[in-house]
Amino acid sequence: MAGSQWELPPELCCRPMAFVALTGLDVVYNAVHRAIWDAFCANRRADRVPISFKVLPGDHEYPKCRTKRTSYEWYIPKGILKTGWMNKHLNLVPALVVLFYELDWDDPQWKEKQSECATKVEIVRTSLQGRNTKVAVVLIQKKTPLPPGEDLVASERASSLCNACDLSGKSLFVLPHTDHLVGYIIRLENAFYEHAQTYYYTEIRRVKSHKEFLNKTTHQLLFVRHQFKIAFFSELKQDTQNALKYYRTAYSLVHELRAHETNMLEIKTMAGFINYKICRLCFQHNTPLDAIAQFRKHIDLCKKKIGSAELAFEHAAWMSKQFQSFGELFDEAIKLGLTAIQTQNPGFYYQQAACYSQERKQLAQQLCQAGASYPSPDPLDTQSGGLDFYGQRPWRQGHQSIDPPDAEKEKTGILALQIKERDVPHSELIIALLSNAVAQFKKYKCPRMKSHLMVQMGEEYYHAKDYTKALKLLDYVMCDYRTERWWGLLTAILTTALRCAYLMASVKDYIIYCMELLGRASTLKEEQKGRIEKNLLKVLMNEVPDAEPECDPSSVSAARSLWNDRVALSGSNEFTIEVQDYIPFIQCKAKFFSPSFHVDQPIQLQVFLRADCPHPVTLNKLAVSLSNQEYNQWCVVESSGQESMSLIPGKTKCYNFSFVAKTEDVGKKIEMTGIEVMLGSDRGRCVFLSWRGAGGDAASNHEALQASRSSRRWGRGMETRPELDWDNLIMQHSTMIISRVPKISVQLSHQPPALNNEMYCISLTVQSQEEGVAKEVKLTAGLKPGQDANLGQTTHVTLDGSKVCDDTAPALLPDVPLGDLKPGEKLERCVYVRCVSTGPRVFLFHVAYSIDTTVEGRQIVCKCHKDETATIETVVPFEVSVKFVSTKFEPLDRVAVDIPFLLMTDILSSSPWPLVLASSSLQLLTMTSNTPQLQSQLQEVVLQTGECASECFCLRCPPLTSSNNTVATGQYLISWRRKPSSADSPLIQTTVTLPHVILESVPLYIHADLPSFGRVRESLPVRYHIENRTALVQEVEMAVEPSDAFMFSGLKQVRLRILPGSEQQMLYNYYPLMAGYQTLPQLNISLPRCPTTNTHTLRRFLPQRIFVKPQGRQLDDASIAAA
Amino acid sequence: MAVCIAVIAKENYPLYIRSVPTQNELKFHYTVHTSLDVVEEKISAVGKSLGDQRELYLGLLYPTEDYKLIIFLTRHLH
Repeated sequence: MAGSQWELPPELCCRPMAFVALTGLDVVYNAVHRAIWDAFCANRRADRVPISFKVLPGDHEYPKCRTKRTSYEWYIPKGILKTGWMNKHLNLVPALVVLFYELDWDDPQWKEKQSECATKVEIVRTSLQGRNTKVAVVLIQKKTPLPPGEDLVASERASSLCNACDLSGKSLFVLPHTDHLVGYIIRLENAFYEHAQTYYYTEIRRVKSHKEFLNKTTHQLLFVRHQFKIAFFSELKQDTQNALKYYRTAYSLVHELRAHETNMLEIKTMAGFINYKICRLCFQHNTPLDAIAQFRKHIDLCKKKIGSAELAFEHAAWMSKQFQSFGELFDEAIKLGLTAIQTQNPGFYYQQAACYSQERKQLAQQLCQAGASYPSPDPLDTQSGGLDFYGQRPWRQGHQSIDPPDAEKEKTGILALQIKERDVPHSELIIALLSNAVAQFKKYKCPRMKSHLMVQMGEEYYHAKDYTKALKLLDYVMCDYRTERWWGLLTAILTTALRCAYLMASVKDYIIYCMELLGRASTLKEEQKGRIEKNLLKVLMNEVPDAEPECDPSSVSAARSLWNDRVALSGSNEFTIEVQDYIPFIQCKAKFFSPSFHVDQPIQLQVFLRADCPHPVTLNKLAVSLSNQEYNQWCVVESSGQESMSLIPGKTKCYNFSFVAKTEDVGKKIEMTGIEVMLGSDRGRCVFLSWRGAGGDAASNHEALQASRSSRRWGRGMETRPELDWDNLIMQHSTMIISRVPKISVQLSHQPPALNNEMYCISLTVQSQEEGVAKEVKLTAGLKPGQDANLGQTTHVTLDGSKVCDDTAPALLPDVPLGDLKPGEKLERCVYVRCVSTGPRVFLFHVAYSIDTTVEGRQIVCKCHKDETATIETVVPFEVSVKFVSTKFEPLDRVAVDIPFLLMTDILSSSPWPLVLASSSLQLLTMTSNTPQLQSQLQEVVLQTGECASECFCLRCPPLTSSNNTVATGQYLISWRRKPSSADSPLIQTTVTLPHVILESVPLYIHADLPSFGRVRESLPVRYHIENRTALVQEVEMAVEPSDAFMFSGLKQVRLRILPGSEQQMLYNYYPLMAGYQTLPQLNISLPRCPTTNTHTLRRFLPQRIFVKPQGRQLDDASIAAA
Repeated sequence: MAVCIAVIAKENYPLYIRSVPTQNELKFHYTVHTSLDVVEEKISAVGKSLGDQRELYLGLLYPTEDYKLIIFLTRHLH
């Protein structure tokens, strides 16, 4: 009851709908009636008219209508709104009563049934005496009606029935019970809706008509009541715009009422109701800003209207309810599509509701003192069990004057209310509201607001003594405040959490919260920290700590006994606390001295500890765990009898550890996996504070960052501080163990660049500077791994330089044993590299050995190695170009079959080093040499950079059987080596594939035999050979054209026939007339049978010019003298 | 009358916070802290649209039941 007293009545919160009563239906036993009723009320969708239907018996008694007041002159209202009024108009007084009656137009007993129907109508009317409720009749008929106007009997009987029942034609309906029942029902209910609207319209008119009788002095309450009623009827009529208007008027009228302590609750109650209606309608009209503005106005107007000071908690409860209801309306509107924003969402209203509930709780605690007994008789009891008017006091209902009629009754009434308030589960209400608000703030991206509300929830659970839940919530949000570094708030939360842990005697939680409250993030004063530290020490000694201040005394005594039980319990006195995510009062940072250690050096690490609590702390043990647990034994320190480990507040203490790494850990990382500090002892309680990695806590990262910023800003001056600066201590949680520094030298000597395919020699010199013997020296040489994968295929490494290695030689020679190396001893090796492709390559020379050494008195065998790399470019030694020319040195694009031609080769050196060309040769395919023996023309030629060596070969292509006219020529082989290399270094064979040639066959081949030169006025015999290369007899026409430079003898023009495969010779004697290069007389040849071959194509085989020497002269003295 | 003044670092922790001593100091801390939700949201929204040209005065953030919160952003504070 206590909680629900402030609930808004359901009839206020529902959506008002026109009330229509259906009578004459037997929905239990009559299947037809049941079907009709179902069609009215089942599955009403939003598109159906808003009507609330009820089936009532035909003789149902409706609420009596009081006799109408004719004058208001002596009437003094007793309250604003009767508690039953809304329900009456929603559920009791119908706008329309519909009588269902089974009657067909052709019923044989028409007369009797008509009068029975009229009687039933009369019964309803009598019951509704004085009301404006309409009555309608629906005839349930078995037959489908004929179209209007066709059934004369029907229209006649209809009007007779209307007369008998005193009904207008608009109020008589026919419902054929056929297939389309739902369709008929929808038409019916639309008609009912119209009747209902008319009814509510007349009701509004009726209420409005009272206004003229009212006067402002005695009838103030009625002004509000009437406006409310008009608004409510407008809502029933679904006229929400007008409803809103009347509610607004009602709202301003309610605040015009003379308010005093005795009617304050009634005014606030009604103001709350009307405000609810206004806000609801504003949201419904999609004007949420109006709703918010109205609500703000409402709160501003009402928040100071506290009423009776002794019942101030009531005001807080009412305020809370106002905010809660508005939050719910807001939330409801959002569910229907309204968009809310971060700064305006229902969460704020729930939060404020929770605030007022908290205030209510406080006021209740102040005002409702325990001890008094509930008064008898119960002043809150009313005869009817409820109130007549909303918001009135049960012991003085209807009383409207300023002073209470009976002071004694007033006192007992207030006492009764106060006693009842004591039983209200305030915390429960507050938590529910807070949790509503949390859900909203989560939705609208307000993480901090959410955390704040969760803190309040936690505190409320603490007040409700549900410590487990309280801790759960507080624990959950603590880390948010910790990461955001709001220390004041964190301290406040921790303080509450510590109280919870104390009251529950939860030892581990108690230690954790103490630990953080003593730490540097805590804003507690020194004396409070001192008290907490004392308590922590007690817990470590397995004693009961002192109670936290501000704890409720009864809870403290319960807690004491819990602690005593806990202390008596043997065992489970060891706790490990992961402190990294807190800000504990002992800080820890650790570091390896260096990010790497050589295996022959001791590994050193330091652990720094610092206490932030007010008094010194004693540790019992400090242990570092490492990734290789075998080293852990070297990183432990325990307090012994003489030497205790204690931390002085504010002073950094450093613990050093060192150990020798295992040689098998070379190349591995050693990490600190955790650090543990033991507080307390086996005799009392052991608490292990455990850090992961190299320590640090929730705040240290930020502190280190700040420290580095300020040291950067203030420069070097700060570095000379005497005290080790804690914030600047950088943790180093891992170190590498690396191999011992080698004491040998590795030198490479070579002559880059490497030439493609050559055996490139790299000579390696290793010299030991060790003091002992370097044992098992091994060399790994070759292509450095991790380069382009193709390089592996095109690089070959060998130690044998006597011959050219083949493709099976690897790219990297691993672990070539070189034996032992005495101190100072030196050894040399040549490594040969053959690079099949050009481009840069990185070569690795890795010399490894082992050596005996001592670290801190321990004998260890160290493996050392030294790496050298060389990047070597590979270039082509020379470029080879090849061309085909005719015997006249004219370039050939095709080669004539069985006619000699020339192959010319050029070797152009691009090597920076001189090259020796040992020999060259041709490997011919298809072609044959035109000369008996092919001999290299460049044997032992030395080519300097940029020099070129050329060769010329005369070749001939024999007649071919295949029809293919493109043929391979063969290969050109060159043997060479680098000049400076020794004579026994192997020769490199470079093969150049000669280009293919296109062949052509000529039908007629003509060539001339002539001397290499002529002489003026001396006969020059020229013999032309004409060969028929076809299988046909060829007819040849030949003519020699006259020339200025020559006279000639022979056939000037001739026509001859040449048999297939045979040759004809023509002899001419030319007689040169002029000296110098002279054009020979032109030979015109044509083959009438072979028109494709003309003079021009044949002439290319013939020499064009000849050099003619001047006429020989006897040497005489004169000419000599002239010279 | 101003009842509380707070200077907040860009990482959202308080650099300075003072309130009138007569009232519940913790409540002001919570109020300032929770208002950062809105500041953060506003900064990210403004930052997106205007880059460095952002308006520094965020003005009245939102009214709580009892107080008004006014926020001013600074460009540089260290």
